[in-house]
Amino acid sequence: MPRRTPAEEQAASSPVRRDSPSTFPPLSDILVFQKDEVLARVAKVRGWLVEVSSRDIELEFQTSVRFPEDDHLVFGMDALNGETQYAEINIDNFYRSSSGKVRVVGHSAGVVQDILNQPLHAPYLCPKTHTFRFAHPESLLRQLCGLGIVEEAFLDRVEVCPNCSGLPTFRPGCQHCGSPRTTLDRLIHHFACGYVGFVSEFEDAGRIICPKCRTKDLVVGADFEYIDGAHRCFDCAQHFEKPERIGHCLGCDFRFPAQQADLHDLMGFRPKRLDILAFSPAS
Amino acid sequence: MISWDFALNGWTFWLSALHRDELWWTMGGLLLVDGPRYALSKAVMFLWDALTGNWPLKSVQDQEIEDRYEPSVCVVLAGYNEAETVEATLTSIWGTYPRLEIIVIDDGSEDDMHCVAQNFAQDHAGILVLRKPQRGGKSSCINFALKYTEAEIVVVVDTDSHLAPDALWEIVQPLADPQVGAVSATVLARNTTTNLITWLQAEEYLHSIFVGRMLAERLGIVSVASGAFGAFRREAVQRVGGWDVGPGEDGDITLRLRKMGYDAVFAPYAECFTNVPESWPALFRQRRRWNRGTIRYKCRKHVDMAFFWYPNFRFSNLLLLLNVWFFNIVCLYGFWIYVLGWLIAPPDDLFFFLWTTYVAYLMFHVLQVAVALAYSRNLRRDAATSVVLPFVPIYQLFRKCARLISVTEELFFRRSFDDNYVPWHVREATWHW
Repeated sequence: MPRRTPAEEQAASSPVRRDSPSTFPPLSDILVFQKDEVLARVAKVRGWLVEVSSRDIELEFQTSVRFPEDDHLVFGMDALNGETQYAEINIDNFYRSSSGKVRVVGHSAGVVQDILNQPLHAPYLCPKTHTFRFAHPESLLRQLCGLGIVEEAFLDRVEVCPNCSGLPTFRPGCQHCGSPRTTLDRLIHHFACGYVGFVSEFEDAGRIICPKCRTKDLVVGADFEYIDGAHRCFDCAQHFEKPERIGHCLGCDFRFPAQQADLHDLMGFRPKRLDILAFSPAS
Repeated sequence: MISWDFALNGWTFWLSALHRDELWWTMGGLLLVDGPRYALSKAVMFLWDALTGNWPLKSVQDQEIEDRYEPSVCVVLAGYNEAETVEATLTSIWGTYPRLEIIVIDDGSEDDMHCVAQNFAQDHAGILVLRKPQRGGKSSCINFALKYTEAEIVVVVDTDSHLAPDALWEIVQPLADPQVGAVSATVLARNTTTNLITWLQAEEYLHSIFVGRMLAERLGIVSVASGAFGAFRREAVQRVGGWDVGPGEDGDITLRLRKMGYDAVFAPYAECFTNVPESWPALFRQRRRWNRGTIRYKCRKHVDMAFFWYPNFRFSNLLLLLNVWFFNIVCLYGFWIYVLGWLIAPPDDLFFFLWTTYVAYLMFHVLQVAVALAYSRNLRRDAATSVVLPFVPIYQLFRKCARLISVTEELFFRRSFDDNYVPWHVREATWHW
């Protein structure tokens, strides 16, 4: 990495004052969030980025709006591609300049700034409830999405529990009660007398004997055939042709046929981030 | 060309000139066999019912719902390559009875029968669809289904048939009597108007099944609960070990139940509509199978029903066998010996003899139609079915031909075991009664 000259180091550490509002693209709109992340105000104003350093950011607006300290200010700026990008500052101070404009001084901080700093906000699986959640309050993300600060992006589609939207596991099970404790019946069809019975009915001390006509030592293929019967559930004693895909919710233990699972689109939120430090002379 | 008036006058003149003894000796035997058996007996039955107040017959429609017998019912549909018809059959059955389960057994079909039934089952509760790896015959299918039901009553329905809306209600009512083990139902033709062959069969079913079995029930000799639509008490069926290998397994199990001491009865208004053969060869094959089955079971396998020294002997069972032996064997051969006599030494006035026989048969048949319509619950349909009346004597001649061939080959050659109705590997393994 090339070493900076002492003059460059000084320039980087000292705040750059830009008195001409035309140096940066103008600000398009501002939003004020209170300390508890509640949106307090939205306004379209005429404003400028006045000063950018690694510590402070100073903005100037032509407005009469008051900016209480410790509130958060999100401001948008039109990029060269026409898209509005956003950044957040934590308001340290504001004052009215001699020209009657409002100047706001702050530093990068706050939840929205945290949201804006992530390239993509994807839901994660909560280990307690087995439901998909966001690291930030979803209501805030939706609010920011509605304001155009972040945009929703389709990530995946998953089947979730119709009861609690938790993540289920799927496995073959009883069509009636959902139990996985099922077995496939095995039967024998004795050709000569037409009798069809479970294999256990025919087995007698290692020999195959027809329980109906008492013919002994039957030979498979010549005298009888094996037939796969229905599946039988050990829990509810019902029988069915083949096991159904049963969902078992990991969150609420609810069992349901797989086709009753809710299809849930997993959406992420992609911020339209304004890298405010890019305007810093050190960057 | 002989005019109609001339022929009619000639015939009436011939008839009036004929001495009563001559008429008796030439046609009396013939008419006294088929006459009493069919027309006169049915007419007597109707008169009896009318006089004793049994007419019109009661049906479930005359009963309050809470007064009806309502056992749990399992309908078994066993079929082979019935993809085209199984859905219509299921549609006609599903939802027509409250305590109903349906088991469809695909007997190793090569078409989409299994898929069609499965698709229907996905949208309708209470249907179990099972599939056998290879064709094993109808008996094995029903026995297979028996393993998966706990219902009190097992109803067997052909997969190419459909039921009337109240058919299941009707067929289970007689089973309120614990003595009844099997219930026979009315099987009618579904494709009546396809051609003359189907129409004639529809007319035949009306008399031989609807009224014929009503008469058989009065005499206590119901011998078959049709495979197309028949109800059985499951407990009784399990006591006899289920169905034996066919063909004719429906008649076989009915007789076995009778031997066990159960009664077989008839539910006249339990109606099932089935497709009947549409060509003479197909009809001939069907009748061969039926007649062979009759001989096989009533002359061989269950001949012990006539053994009065057996502990389970019942007079009605003996009567049932005597009825078959006399009318299906003795009278059959008597008829053809009679015809042979005509062929060897035809009388001079053969045409008048034939015409007189035809007219006599027709008159007897008109009487049968009247009885059938008197009991009918659908007068318009049954009257329309009877329109083919003039062709019936000719059709009966065809049936007698088919019966002669099939009875002879079964009596002497046991040809029922060559019938493709049962797959080869099964009929080779089973006992040849």
